[in-house]
Order: sequence, then C-alpha cells, then structure tokens
Amino acid sequence: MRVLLADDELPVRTVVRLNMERRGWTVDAVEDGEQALHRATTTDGYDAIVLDQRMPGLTGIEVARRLEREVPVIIHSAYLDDDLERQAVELGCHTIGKADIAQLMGKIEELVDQVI
Amino acid sequence: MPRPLRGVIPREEGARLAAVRRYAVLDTPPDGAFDRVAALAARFCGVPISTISIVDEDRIWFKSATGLAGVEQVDREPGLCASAILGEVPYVVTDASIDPRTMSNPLVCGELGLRFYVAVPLRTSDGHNLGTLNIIDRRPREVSAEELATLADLAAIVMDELELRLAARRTVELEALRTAAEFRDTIVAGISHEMRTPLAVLHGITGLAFDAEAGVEQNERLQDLFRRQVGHLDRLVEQFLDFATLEHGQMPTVAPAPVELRAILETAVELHADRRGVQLTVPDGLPPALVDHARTLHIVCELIRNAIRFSPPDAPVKVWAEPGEERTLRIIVEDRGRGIPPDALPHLFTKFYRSPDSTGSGLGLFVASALADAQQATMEVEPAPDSGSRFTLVVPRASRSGAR
Repeated sequence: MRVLLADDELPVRTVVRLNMERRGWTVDAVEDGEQALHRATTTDGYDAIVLDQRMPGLTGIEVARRLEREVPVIIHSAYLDDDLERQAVELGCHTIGKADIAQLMGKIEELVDQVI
Repeated sequence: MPRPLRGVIPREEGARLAAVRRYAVLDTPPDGAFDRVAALAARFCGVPISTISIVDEDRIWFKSATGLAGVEQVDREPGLCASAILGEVPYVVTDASIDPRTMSNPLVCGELGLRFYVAVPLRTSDGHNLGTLNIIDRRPREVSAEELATLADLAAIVMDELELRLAARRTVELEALRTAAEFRDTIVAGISHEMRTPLAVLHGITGLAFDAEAGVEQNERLQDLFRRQVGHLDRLVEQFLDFATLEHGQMPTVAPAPVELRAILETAVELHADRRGVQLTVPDGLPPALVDHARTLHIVCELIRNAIRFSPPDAPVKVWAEPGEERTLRIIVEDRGRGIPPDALPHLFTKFYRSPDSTGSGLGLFVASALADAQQATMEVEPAPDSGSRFTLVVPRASRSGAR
C-alpha cells in the first residue's frame, strides 16, 4: 500500500507515517497542499491520498478539487462539520475524524479494496 | 430544621410559601409603585395606616407601609394578616377590642392600639394568598361597599405589579441563560477542537509503543513528541482553569521571582519545535525579570502559538527579548501573517474574541492578558513593519537584591 499524506503538523505526519509503515505501507508525507498536488501529479502508484483540511495555503478540500482523482481521497480533520462533509461528498471524497489512526488505516483498506 | 409553625396556617402552606418565593419580593427595597397604592388606600378610606404585607414562614414583611414609620416586619403569629390570608374575601374588623378574633391580640392591646382593620388578600392566579393590602385605624369604624371595591381594585393592581416584575426578571434570566449557553457552547467546541490534534497524536504514539524493532532514535523522537503534546494539553487545561478563576471575579495566583528570560523563551520555543521554524534571539547579559516562571511561559506559548498559526510557511516567527524603559524588559513575538484588522485591535484581549476563521475558544489572549496583569506586566500589540503583527510583553526587572 502506498499512501500520500499531507498535514501541516509534524507530530501528526510522524505518528501517522510510523503507524502505516509498521503495517508495511509506504508513506510519502508532505506538509502542505501545494506539495501534495505536485506529488500526486508527478508520482504514479498511490493507492490512497490522505489530506488534512486545515493547512496554510490550499486546504484539503481545495487540493481534492484540483486533483484528477483516480484513487480514494480522504479528508482527515479535527474540524469536520456539515459544510465540509457536503463538499467532500460532492467531490466524491471521504472524510474521517482525527482521533484514531487505526480507524484511518481501516478506512483506507476498505476503500482500496472496493476499487480493486 | 423545620420548626413548628406558630399561629394559624393555611392549607397547602408549602405551596403558598413557594409562590411567595417565586415573586422574589421579600426584603426588596421600597418601590414607588407600591408606596403609591398604599397611600391611595389610606387616603381614599380616610385612615392613617395602610400596608402591603407579604406573609412569610414566620413573619409578616411590609413591602409598603404608610403611617407606620420604620416598621419593616412583625412576627407572624400576632399579625392579623396571617388570619386574613386564610380566606378569599376581605377580612373586616370594625372594632378589634370587642371582636373575639382579635381582642387579645398584642397589636390591639398594646402600643399600636389597633381598632379597625380591613384586609384584601393578594391572590395569585393559581389561588395562593401571598399577603394583603390592608387599612388600619386606631378608632373603631365601619367600611363601605365603595371602599371595599376600591381596596379590591388596588389589591389587583398590586398583584399586576408583582406579576410584571416577575415577568421582567424571567425575561432577563432567560436572556442571560441563552447568552451563557451560547458562550459555553463556543468554548466547549473551541477547546475540544484544540485538544483533538494533541490527543490524536498521543493516540497514534500508543499504537507504536513498545516497538522493539524501532531504533533508539525513533523512540527518543516519539518521547519528545509525546512530551510536547502532553505539554500542549496541559496548557489548555490550565488556561481553562484560569478562565474559570477569572469568571469568579478573581485573579489567577502568581508567584513572581527573579527569572532569566532566556530559560523561559528557550522552553517556549522548544515546546513548538514540531511546528514551523521559530527564531529566538536573547542578548547576553540581559538582567533577570521579576515574573512567575510558569505563567510567563504560558503567555509566551500562547503568543508563539498564534504567531505560528497565522504565519505563512516560508516566514519564520521571530521571538526576542530586549531591555525596556524604566526598569522593564520586553519580550516580543512577531509574525509575518496577514496582520490584525485595525478594528479588531481594541477587542483582541477580550473574552471570546476570535479571528473570523478561527475555531479556537477565544480564551487564549484573554487569559494571557489577565496573567500579565496579575504579574504587573503589560501586553501590547502593533502591526509589524512589513506585514503581520508584533506582540510585546513588558515585564518588570528584578532589582539587584532580587526583590521588588
């Protein structure tokens, strides 16, 4: 499993990455939306893209909007509200709260299985 | 502790007393509206004394008393009002000295020399007699139908006044409750949001703990992460407690002592080492400050946290210390963000102020500025030279002997 992760907070990037690597996944972790966009368009082979919502510069939703998605995109945020959920659904993205990384990984596996 | 009630007691006295409490009229100051009604009653009926009385558990308290200078209340037992509230109709005594109901009453036999008494119960819409509107004379006499009708109307006016005041009080209370509920929801939402990320990180670390395969370096990094996140959560809780203290009208406690600002600033910067770069400059030979170490650390952390949040990725936050005027020292935190709108500046340190796109609790700067006040320090904010903002905390220097 190869995952692209964008989050402006180093502790979150570190902890999510370490958890995923422990499961044998490969993780590219970037700190803002622009870098996420760049990586997504120049690198093949991501199975899933995980985006923090609140980042300086492009927000998660704004990145999702610009992505030509073929892979599942998950907005990973502590600040989920109805408005954000609605926007995510419109873009065909998923959302998950920032509480349980095991849950995040479970969701990724579920979505990737569906694609396959 | 329940005492046996003296005197005659109406049925459902408990419910009646609850009704009395509901109107919150006992022991309130004199009120022109009620005084005018009592005066009208006395004048119309040609008597020297008229009172508006409320019958409490063990006393009769006068909301208004015309012709009874300086009397605020009497014991319930001898009070004629206590008997008057037993019924629904006016209670009439034309000559108290020969009326079997009253002839041995101290108000009749004693100094007052009461002879004539007419009382109309003050009756609530749910059928409780709160007290009476009454007229009193020291000579026996009759009461006419017209006087009784007028007294009944005046008693109804007294009840209207009581209802009006109750309704006004309820409206104010409801408004206050609504406002309080809104503020509470805002704070709760803000604080829980702010706690989510540190908690998520801590949760993620527990998923990795005891990983024998991970190197020492990774484990040390995780420990540092863990420690800092716990520090953030700890500060959030402390901020909330300080806020509660301020809400109770008290200042948070502080214990100023001579402190090297370098120590405080280096700790504050290290606590934010996980975020974008923060540049720290502390000149050598800076004299010690007289501050509370923990409280000042909290203030500086709040300033750094805000600066990081509003700074663009490529512009580091700058923190430095310098001597100030008149035996002070200055700590400055500067960011290169969008800056603060001029109309927001006066409100920045007020309770619940948040910038429009923030989901914080609005308590951070409010508590920080209170903590500064408590230490005889001041907080200032101004636009930074190019763009962004500059927050300055001005603290007292420690005197050479170490005390102020």
